[in-house]
Amino acid sequence: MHFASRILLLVVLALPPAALAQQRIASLNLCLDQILLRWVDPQNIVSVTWLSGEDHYRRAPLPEHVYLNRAQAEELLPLQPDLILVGQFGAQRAAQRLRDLGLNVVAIPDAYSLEQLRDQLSALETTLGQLPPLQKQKRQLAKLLAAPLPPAQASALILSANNITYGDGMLEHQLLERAGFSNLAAQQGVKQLGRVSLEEVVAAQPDLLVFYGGEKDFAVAHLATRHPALKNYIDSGRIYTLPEELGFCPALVAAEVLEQLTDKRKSFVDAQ
Amino acid sequence: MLTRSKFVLAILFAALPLALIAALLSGPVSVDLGAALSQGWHSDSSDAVILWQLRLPRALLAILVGAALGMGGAAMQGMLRNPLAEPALLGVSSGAALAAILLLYYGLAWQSGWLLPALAIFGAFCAVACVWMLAGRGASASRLVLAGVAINAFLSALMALALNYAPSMFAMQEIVFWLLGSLANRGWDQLLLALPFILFGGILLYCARNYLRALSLGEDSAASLGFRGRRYPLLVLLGIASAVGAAVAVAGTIGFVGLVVPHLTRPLVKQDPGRLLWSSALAGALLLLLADIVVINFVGAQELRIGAVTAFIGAPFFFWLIVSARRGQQL
Amino acid sequence: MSREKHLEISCLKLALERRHQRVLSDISCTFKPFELTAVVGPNGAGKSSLLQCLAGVLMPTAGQIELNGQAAEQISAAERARRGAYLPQSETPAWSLSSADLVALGLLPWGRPPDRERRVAAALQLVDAQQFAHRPVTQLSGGELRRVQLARLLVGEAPLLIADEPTSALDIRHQLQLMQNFRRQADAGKTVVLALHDLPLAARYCDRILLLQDGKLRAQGTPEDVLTPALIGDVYGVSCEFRWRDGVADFVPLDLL
Repeated sequence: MHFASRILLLVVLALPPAALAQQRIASLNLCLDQILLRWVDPQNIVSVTWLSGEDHYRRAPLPEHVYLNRAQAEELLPLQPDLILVGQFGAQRAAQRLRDLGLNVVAIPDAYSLEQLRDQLSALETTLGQLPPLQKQKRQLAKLLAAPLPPAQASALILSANNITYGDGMLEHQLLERAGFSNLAAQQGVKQLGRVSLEEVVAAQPDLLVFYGGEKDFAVAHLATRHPALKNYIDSGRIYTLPEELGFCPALVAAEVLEQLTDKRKSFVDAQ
Repeated sequence: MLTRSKFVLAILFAALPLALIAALLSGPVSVDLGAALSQGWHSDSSDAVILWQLRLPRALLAILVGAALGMGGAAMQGMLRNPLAEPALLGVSSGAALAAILLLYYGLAWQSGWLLPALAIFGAFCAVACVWMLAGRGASASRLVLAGVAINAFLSALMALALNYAPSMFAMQEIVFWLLGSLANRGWDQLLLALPFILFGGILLYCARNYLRALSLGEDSAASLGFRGRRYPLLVLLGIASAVGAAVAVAGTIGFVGLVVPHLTRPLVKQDPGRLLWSSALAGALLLLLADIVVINFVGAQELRIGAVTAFIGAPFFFWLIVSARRGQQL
Repeated sequence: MSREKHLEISCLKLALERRHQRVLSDISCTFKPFELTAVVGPNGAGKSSLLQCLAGVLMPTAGQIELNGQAAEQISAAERARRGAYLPQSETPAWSLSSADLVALGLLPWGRPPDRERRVAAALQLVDAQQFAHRPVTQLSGGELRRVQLARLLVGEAPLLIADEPTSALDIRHQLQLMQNFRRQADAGKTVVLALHDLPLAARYCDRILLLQDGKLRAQGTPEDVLTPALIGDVYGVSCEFRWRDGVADFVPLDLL
């Protein structure tokens, strides 16, 4: 414990002192919560949403001084934040109220594609300053977008909760394509989200079956992914599980997911 | 009259395998059934997997669950001497669903073995015993329905509460699932989970058939005919709970099958509550299988819930019951 | 199990409590084969409860019932049902069974005997109801339904027959028909116990009368012994007159006492 805190101190000291212009940052959006908690010095965070305090989303213990808000203007006022981050949707009424009261409220756009992700990271950079993890993520993303689209060498299909699949125009689809997979859902004309029955999954015979994370707990919604008909895929390791964060905050994991998917595709090609 | 009802029963019996073939043929993917059959159980071809692992267990589960609900409805009507009795209407299914939810969402997973149907049966047993005790001896139709609706409403509220506090991210949707039932994405594991309990319930109810017959004269007469004591009602309660509870544990609460089916088949067995058990099981299996074929072939953004289909059949049937009761016919 | 043709049933210091209320207390009596016994008494005297105890529907709280000298609790419910048949005061069939099927229910204690149909037809013949054997019971008139129910009581040929108010809601003709039927059964060796309200009917057809009052046995004996103006006046609170003519009682209630 003592050792750990000393390491932490060293890390904090190593950060460039002028990286952050703001000292008291609050967030009204789950994704922005997660970005703050991972990339910003905890001393500078005054409040995140209550969702980030839930077991489901919490990755590490929250610093004790951080207030869990439910996006009410009156909760945030006494905290005297000098920067309040809101998303594109949700908590809009509270954001407007806080703006009227003269507080510094900044809206960060949501990201549903790689291009939007780039915009989101730029917006974060202008607001929060040049944070090293942010810049690293941004650099990785720019590199990925600049590279030419690889030819599809294997097929993949996403099977998410409630038999939902992801088609053309979704971030998940872009990641599959950039990793060298052809998304069978998009080929069958699915735009955005679509439904895929187990029969269709079996009939389509994708090389890789992609699940979405967050199925530790039982729900009938996850029944399809547990069906014995998919046992072949699980036994032969032809599955990949997208991390849950990709669904609500792709900025954190997009680059990492792409890397893993590319490795997966390479292993298929090697096997052939 | 007699020969005609036998003829209708024979048609129902013959329709079941035909409906099974129809169910195996329907699905979003067109499958070469002959090839899939000849490739056999262990084949890895997608046609064979679709037939043997997806369509067949689902269709058989529809038959099994339908039979359980039909038989449960017939037994409940016979036991309460009331044609309005129905497991889903009177909270028996909700009791099973609540127990299943508590176990599935707060405890073990689906594959956790026989604890799930056992607990669902316990929930169903408590609910059906509550209805039986609340309604009491020779209860009037209104008192019975009142007791059942009260229990059902309370249990449904508890279900919604439990799901809202469950770690599941899909609370609202899961509530709809449990209240309307579904056979989607079910496989052999669920079928094998429910089968022994439904068979057990069926055997118990079969053993109680003469009690149900005697009960058509009333409880006192039944006692004087040798069916005295708690043993027989307990047998029926346990039989209903076992069959309906196991069905609900794997498929959610599917309403109206237990109400409509005994009504439709009662004239075919000359109103005999004993033979009504198996004729209702047969007709219930057929009805639910046909309803599931409708569900499979229904095109829509969301999957149609099978409980919605049975309610579409059942609710107008209820209207017809009311109208015919108003016309002075015996309800 | 041996099938006895005759059955003597006796109660010894019988008592019954229901919901902490004494319904019957200290009743000792015997019902013999070839005897038609009427249990009479004002409303709430415990007639139905006594009959239900005899039929094995209710278990007495204290005292004993013996069937041919054998204690009733040693006899299984099914065996007891084979020895005695019971028709409650109001028996509404829940389902619209045909008359023949309803009568067949009386054979349930014997399972499904092979000569079922013949016995059902014979029982229907006995009560002159064969013409509506296939009619649903819900479409029968009150008198017709009673006859079918009587056939249900008789079909098992149990040595003990118990019926609670079998003549209520019947017209005079059907009342007489019914009582003659029971008389014939008793003459054939059955032990017949009926609860009755109609005292002249009881006096005319029955060999013995049990008079109950407030759950206690007030008097038992031949109709002439029991149905006296003094006793009736005391139990029912009415003044009355009995004129006996060739074993037929002319009963004239006069006024409230």
